[in-house]
Amino acid sequence: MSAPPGAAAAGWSWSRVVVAGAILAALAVLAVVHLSMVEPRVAPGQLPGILLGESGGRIERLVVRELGLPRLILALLAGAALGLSGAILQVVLRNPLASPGLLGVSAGASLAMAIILLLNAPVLFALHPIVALAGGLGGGLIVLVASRGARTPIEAALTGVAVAALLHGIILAIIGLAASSGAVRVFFLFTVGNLSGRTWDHVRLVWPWVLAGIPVAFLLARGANVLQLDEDVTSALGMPAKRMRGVFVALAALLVGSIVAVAGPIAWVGLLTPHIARLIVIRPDARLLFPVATAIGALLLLASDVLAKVVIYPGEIPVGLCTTLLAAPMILVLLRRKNLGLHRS
Amino acid sequence: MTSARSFVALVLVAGMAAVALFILHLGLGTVWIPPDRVLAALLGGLTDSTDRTIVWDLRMPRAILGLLVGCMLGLSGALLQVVMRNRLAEPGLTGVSTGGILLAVLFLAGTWGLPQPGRLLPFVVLLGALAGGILVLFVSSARGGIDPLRLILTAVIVNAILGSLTAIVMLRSNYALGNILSWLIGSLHGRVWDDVWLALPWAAVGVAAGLLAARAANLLQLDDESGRALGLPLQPARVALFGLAAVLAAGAVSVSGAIAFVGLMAPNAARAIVGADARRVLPLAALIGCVLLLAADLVAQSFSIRPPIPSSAYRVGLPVGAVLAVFGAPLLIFLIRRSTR
Repeated sequence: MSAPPGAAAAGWSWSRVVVAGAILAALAVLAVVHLSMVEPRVAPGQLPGILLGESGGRIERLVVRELGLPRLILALLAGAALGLSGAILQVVLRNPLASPGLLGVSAGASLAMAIILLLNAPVLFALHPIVALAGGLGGGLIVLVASRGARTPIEAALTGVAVAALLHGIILAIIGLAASSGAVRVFFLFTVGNLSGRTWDHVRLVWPWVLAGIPVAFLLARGANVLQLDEDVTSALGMPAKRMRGVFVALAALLVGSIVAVAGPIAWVGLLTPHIARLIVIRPDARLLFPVATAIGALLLLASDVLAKVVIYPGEIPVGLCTTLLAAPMILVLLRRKNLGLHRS
Repeated sequence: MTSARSFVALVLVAGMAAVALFILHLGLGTVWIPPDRVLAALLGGLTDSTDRTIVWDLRMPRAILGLLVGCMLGLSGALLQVVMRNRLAEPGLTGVSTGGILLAVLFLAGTWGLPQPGRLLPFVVLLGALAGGILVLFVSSARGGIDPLRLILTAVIVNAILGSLTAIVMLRSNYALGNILSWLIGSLHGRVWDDVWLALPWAAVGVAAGLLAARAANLLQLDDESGRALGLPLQPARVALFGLAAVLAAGAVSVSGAIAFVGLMAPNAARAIVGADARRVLPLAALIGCVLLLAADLVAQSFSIRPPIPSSAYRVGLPVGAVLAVFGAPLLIFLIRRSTR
């Protein structure tokens, strides 16, 4: 924060180019690997031909285009949205424990799915993601309204956690009172987070939210920087801190709402990604942190999904579980670096 | 509420509420026993032996555990929030819940063919819980001592790994999924005196030590330089308080499973009422934990007379954690909003 505003983030240095290039290269390689891991497997060299419709059999084309591609795009969008959302929250609420979980979105979507799956609410299968999206946005709205008068970041964060706990409490009550074990298993699979079998329909539900939210977040990053300062400083600068915080929380919720609806509350990505990004960015500047967290989130989820397809092949592990097992050791390694970029909040 | 007198009054009120809830709890069940007869059975006055059997043999263990677990989780959360300098910290972050549950899942999923795995489960959970706590402490104190932010990070990571491993095992084993769910959710149903004896030593030692640590906790809340200048050995103090929080939570998890939210809510509620002074927050958080858990269990118990669908392996009735969150969350939001700083 000691650097003069504008100069640091706008300028570019070789180390930044190298980091950005490395992340993009890794994304490209992983995307090819991911796409070739459809069932039946396709050789990476054949992919361009299959995608353009010039080579490959009917089955290969169908599998790559209708299953592989949407899942790849969904993994990228989900990772980017979750990573960015987590970064926004950790910066704006000034808390390293903040994660999309306290938005009430995951809890709301889970509650909607619990009502569908555990109480056998008569909802068409194709409409499940839309109902879950409505539930998630409802949960987010409750958090926003409840934390409207919050004077400090911790008040807002605690309010979010409390609302999420309330919604989870209702889910627990449903599980305890009225669930059969088969239904609980299906519901559990949803709460873990899963990308398998997703199609273009799911992508269509997700992409507008994510692609609209990301640039807005980048544009507002300056405002997020201001919110990192003390309340006294912010108010001295004449900034409406409370309202700005509300805008960011709403943005974070809108980013992940559709993701959670189609893929479930993929655990830990939103919490872990900002920490990885912070170990790379070092300086607490949201204008750098947001893009890096977005890219790292996409990278992380893509790599996890590759892992999910490989580990118990021909079976699959839910991607949410792989994310943890992949990201956690990575952070531990980064933490070992002598010069930690950890700044006190 | 800043004066010493009003704090004493507050503690007295909370204590009396706990006692009243305890007596109500003993009376409630399939057969309702009015408070006067509960008191008579407790004090050994002129009562029929049925009352005494019901109160002492059947209901007392659950009520005592409600008190102990609430107290332990409330205090554990308060200590951890001091050590981590973060009001979002809660007892599960010590690694004991995820550690205990992972070992329990492995225990249940493994074909170890023991006649009654249920009786051994609390010990298994306790072992896993302590191991989880030690793991978090060990990983976070790698180099140059424990820094609150590093502790938070490593705690989150270790919990993420243990939690994911648990989920993988659960997904691969039907049996474990059914049986472990009640541990994941947390419940006080069907607890007996054996469970009380398992939790009591941890509770007694942990609560006493935790309350005595209030002065050190206060110094830890300052920034490092001030704490050191006032003569506090920072690293040992952090390790000790973290260890206490872990031990308290481990004792609670071993008998009741991972009851969520009480360990987050009690310290924050206490702080909203009396401010940041650990000498007041720690005892009040413990008391609020007691009152909350007893009250929630009272509601949970009266709702779970008969589940609407024929029973299956893991039916737990209305779990106490659910009641706690549904009633506690609005209360917490109200308290935070009302507090003046």
